Amino acid sequence: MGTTGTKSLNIANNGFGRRSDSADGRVLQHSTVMAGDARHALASVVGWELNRATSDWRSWLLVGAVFAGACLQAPLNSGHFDRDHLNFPIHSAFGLAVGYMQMLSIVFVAIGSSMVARDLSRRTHEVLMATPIPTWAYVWGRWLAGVLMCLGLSIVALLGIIAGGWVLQMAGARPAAYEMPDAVGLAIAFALIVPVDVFLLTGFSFTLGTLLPRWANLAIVAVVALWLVGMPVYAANYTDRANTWLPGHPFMLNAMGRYYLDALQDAQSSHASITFEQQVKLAYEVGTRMPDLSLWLWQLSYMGVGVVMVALTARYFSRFRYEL
Amino acid sequence: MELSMDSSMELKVEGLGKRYGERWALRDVTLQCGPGLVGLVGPNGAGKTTLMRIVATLLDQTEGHAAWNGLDTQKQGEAVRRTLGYLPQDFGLYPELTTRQFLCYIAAMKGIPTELAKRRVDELIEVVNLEPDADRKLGGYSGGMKQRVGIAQALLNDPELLIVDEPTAGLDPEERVRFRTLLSSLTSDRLIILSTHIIADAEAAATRLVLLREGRVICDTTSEELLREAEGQVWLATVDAETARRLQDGYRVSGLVSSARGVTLRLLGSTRPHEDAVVAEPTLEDAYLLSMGGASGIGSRTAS
Repeated sequence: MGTTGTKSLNIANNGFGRRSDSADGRVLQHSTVMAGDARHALASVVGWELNRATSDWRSWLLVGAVFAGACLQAPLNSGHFDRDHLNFPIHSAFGLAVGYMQMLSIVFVAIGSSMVARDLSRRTHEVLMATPIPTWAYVWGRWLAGVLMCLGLSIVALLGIIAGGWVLQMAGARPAAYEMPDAVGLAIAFALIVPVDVFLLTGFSFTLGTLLPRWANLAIVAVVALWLVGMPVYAANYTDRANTWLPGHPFMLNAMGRYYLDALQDAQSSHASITFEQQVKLAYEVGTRMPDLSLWLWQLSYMGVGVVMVALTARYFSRFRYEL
Repeated sequence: MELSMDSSMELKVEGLGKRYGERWALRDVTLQCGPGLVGLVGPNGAGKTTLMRIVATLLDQTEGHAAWNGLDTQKQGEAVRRTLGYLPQDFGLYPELTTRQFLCYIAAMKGIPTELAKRRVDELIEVVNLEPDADRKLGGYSGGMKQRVGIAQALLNDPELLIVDEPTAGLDPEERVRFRTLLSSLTSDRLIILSTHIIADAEAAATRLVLLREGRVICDTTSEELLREAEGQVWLATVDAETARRLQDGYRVSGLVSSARGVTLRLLGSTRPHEDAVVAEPTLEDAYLLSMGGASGIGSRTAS
């Protein structure tokens, strides 16, 4: 540590405007205290969380893993293409995207639940709570940063799926086995799929992880279980299945499957006789065609549920932590 | 927005109490502090950290009230935090950030404008002597280096109210002396509350001592006064091993040295413990032990 007698501070120009304590002007002086600027508080929290994330090599490892996993989707699934697998759009870029989103859902939940809870486990909470950062900015900023991270990962996944499909097609081993999807259409579908997933899943997991930080890991398990198991059960029993389309959810695969089969049937009916190769070709053409998502636009309203959850979290979040 | 500093800078704590379940961690604490360095001293579980967390707006009290410059720490926490610097006893850092990044991050959370924050961070890195490691990730730091980063973050906003909980824990003796010097240099026009187990730290830096035991203030005084009260109650006696054992049973012992001549004991008590015992000059540690033990009756006194 610096000896105050030898370390010199630029007192006069430090911007705090207070005088030096000592005649030689070498010690830390005090100043008129600057109040926190609430206007920039939210931007500060979001910006610094993203800065922290990008400074962590584990984040880049996750990005790499997501990209690699997405790249492998098309090649891995195309290898299983035969007569028995024609009835499901897993081979199509749209099917791959939806299927991969299920895996990413778990990552979204983990990110959401840890955005504030990790401050407690890392013991950085007290230092942060002693700053004048407004509670609302802290809570909303952390969640928004988590949302941006999840959206970023989704874009990486989308690029990976497109890249994997492109490489498969360019490889030329089985030129008929994979049609490049309509990239713009896929991006549009993704734009409809991803935000609903991200808002809903991070909203729930963030709320549980923030308000019950000691149970953050349990919150991850609970939300994932609810998403992957509970929701289909609920949808099957209490909703109109034809309209139940939760993006990135197992149920969407079923909905996509029905849509795909109908489209495939329509396409096949226009041919009097069709060979297996033609059937395969037709299946890919249908599979890479932009699905009609307009029926499902209303489900964007699920994003509001996530926002409400975060609003409740900001309302009930307490800076006091008795267990500290 | 600026909160101008004035001569009425004051921490006022009245009848403060904090209960966890059935246990009172703090009870009926009343204090009034102006600029200077107040040392909070007491054994583990005395309520020092609880008191500091309430003043630092990190904990709500069960009863009583605390105010900084007239601002209620519970109801006007955000305004209090604008003038607060706080170093917790047990804190973590973000291992993925460098010292410079971490300090800039905390500066942003404190609302310090970017350009000013950069200058301030550079100054503090120099003060805590972390220049060679300022751009290294915090994950590789030793305990003492982390403590220095903690000290720097507390000083970022040049706080009027600086609360430091066991700040010298993990620092080597040389660093501890430097930190004490730094704290002493900061005391004018600022209130510093220093909690410590190390009596030498309090002795060297504090202008006022508040002794806590079992959640209550048992003594609010100065080092000089505490030492004066201990005069005539510290004894040195060199005796054989058997007598030493007997004396240890009957008296508080603040020091023991074995040598060829026998065992030299430093004993605390209002009466001469042994015919060979001679009165010794009390140290602050002796005075503290006397207060905590209540043997001399010092502990029942509360200075204004």
